[in-house]
Formats: sequence, C-alpha cells, structure tokens
Amino acid sequence: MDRKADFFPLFGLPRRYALDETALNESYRALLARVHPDTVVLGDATAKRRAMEDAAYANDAYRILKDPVRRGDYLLQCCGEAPLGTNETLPIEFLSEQLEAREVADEAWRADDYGRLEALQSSLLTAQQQRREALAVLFSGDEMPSEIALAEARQHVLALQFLTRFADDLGEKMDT
Amino acid sequence: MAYNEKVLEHYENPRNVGSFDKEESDVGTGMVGAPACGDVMKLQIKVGKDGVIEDARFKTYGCGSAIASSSLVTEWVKGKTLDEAMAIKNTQIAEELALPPVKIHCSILAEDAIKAAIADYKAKSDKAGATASREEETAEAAVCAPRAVTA
Repeated sequence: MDRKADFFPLFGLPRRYALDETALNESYRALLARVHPDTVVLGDATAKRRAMEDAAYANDAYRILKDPVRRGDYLLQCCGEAPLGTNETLPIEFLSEQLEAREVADEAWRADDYGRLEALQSSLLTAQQQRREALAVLFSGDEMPSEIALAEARQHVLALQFLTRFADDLGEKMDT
Repeated sequence: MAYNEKVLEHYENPRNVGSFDKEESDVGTGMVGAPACGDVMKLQIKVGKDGVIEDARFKTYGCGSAIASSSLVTEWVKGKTLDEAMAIKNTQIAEELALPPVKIHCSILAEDAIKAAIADYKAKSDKAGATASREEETAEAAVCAPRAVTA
C-alpha cells in the first residue's frame, strides 16, 4: 500500500467534500481485508510490521474522511492550507449568534424547557447541514479552488467544527 | 481533569460577569471563539475620559480554564490604561492560573479578547473623532459660503 497516497484514491473515491459513505465503508472493509495483520500471521517480522502500519494508516484515513470536520480540514491541507489550529478566528457576527444560542440553551435548561432545547438542537443541525452543503460546492471539481474559495471553505470548516462541538455538548447534556 | 485551585476559585466565583451596552461610545467589545473546543468569549471594557479602564465585564461559554482566564483578565484590566492592558500576555494569565499545556489556548483566547475589546474601543473613538472633525469642516464651509456670494 502506498502510504503517501491521497486518502481519497486509497478508497477509490473522487477528491470531493460530498461523500458517498456507502462506497467509503465498502472500500474500507475491502482494504482492511487486504492489509489486516491477521493476513500475515505466518509471515516474517517485516511483513507483520508492514501490515500493522498499513492497517493503522487505513484506519486513520477512514476516520478522517468519515468525519465532516476532519474531511474539510484534510481537503484544505490537500490544497496547501495550514491545518486547523487551536487559535483560529471566527467572524464576530457568527460568534455573537453562538453566544446568544448558548444563552438561550442555558435559559431553556434552567426552565426545564425541553421543547426549546430540541428546537435549538434542530436549528444547530440545520446550520451544520448548510455548512456541509457549502463545502460540497466549494470542493466539487477536479481543479484546485481559488484562494478566495479556500478562505471561504476554511471559515465553513471552522464554523462546522464550532457548531458540531456545541451540538455534541447539548446532546450530551440532554441525554443525561 | 483536576483543576488548579485558582482556576476553581474563579470558576466558582467568577468576577465581573455580565454585559455593557456595546453601542455606548465608552465601551469596547471583544468577541473571540475557539472552534476546536466550542468556546466563545465576550469581554467588554468601559473606558474613562482619561483613557483608563474603569470597569470590565465578560461572558464566557467554555471550560473552567476559559472562564477563569477571562474572569482574571477583567480583574487585571481595571484601573489600567489602554496601553497597559494591551501589554497583558497570555503567559502571565497561564502562569497566574497555573494552566497546564493543554489549556494554554484558553489564556491565548483571553489575551485575544482583551486586545479585540481595546481595538474595538479605539476604532469607535477614532470614528467619533473623524466625524467631529468633518462637522467642523462643514461648519467652516458654511461660514465661507456667504462671503463668496458677497464678493
């Protein structure tokens, strides 16, 4: 297995944001069947080590492509952009909205207003969906997106990361 | 994760929580967020005519370290000039709260927030200054106009 290869061709997929999850899952299973350490139990130490590294690489690649935020981050890096960091800037309007949404969540939580929390949750899902759709458009062709498009894509990935985190926190809280 | 005493102290008794009206001319608002952890921090300063920060407020949704960092910064900036407040470094915040390496980004967020609040205040007062001088020019032009007519 060529471990320097792009993750997308590794699974026989086009390098796009929009993902055919069924195809990814199928290729992943087929790939693992080929490189799994179990296939070389009788092989020598080199073969065993190679199989282990190949399997680890395939697992990593699979997890990254499957995750909407990490996939976006990966695509940005494929286009020469820096990986997402811990100190990224987000637009003030977006942050103000998010602060308000958290205030609403807190209030609803204190008031035991489950309906309002569910409404907030579904609006978060819609917001995430919109970001994913925007990314699917920006990373939809074979040619490299323009610099402006890449900057825009970065903002969408960051916002998606932010929204996902909020939605997960909210979901966790509501489950308990 | 175990939090340091000082972090816990600020987390349990956060200072200066709340908001100022961001439209007020003597208020500067800094808004920052960390996408990776979903933290969002709003830090506001109220600046006196002498350029000294009279009061500060914050609102932070995030982990204990992010809350403690912003709470600490609001305490620190009170009574400082804008330049003094601008000089606050995240390392000082991290040191005071004994933040572990994985939480350093919370102190960076607080530093970014105070810098953004100062920048917002300055942009506002520059704009107000520019409007004032434009009004002066118009006033002068109005004075000159009748003279031109009589000439």
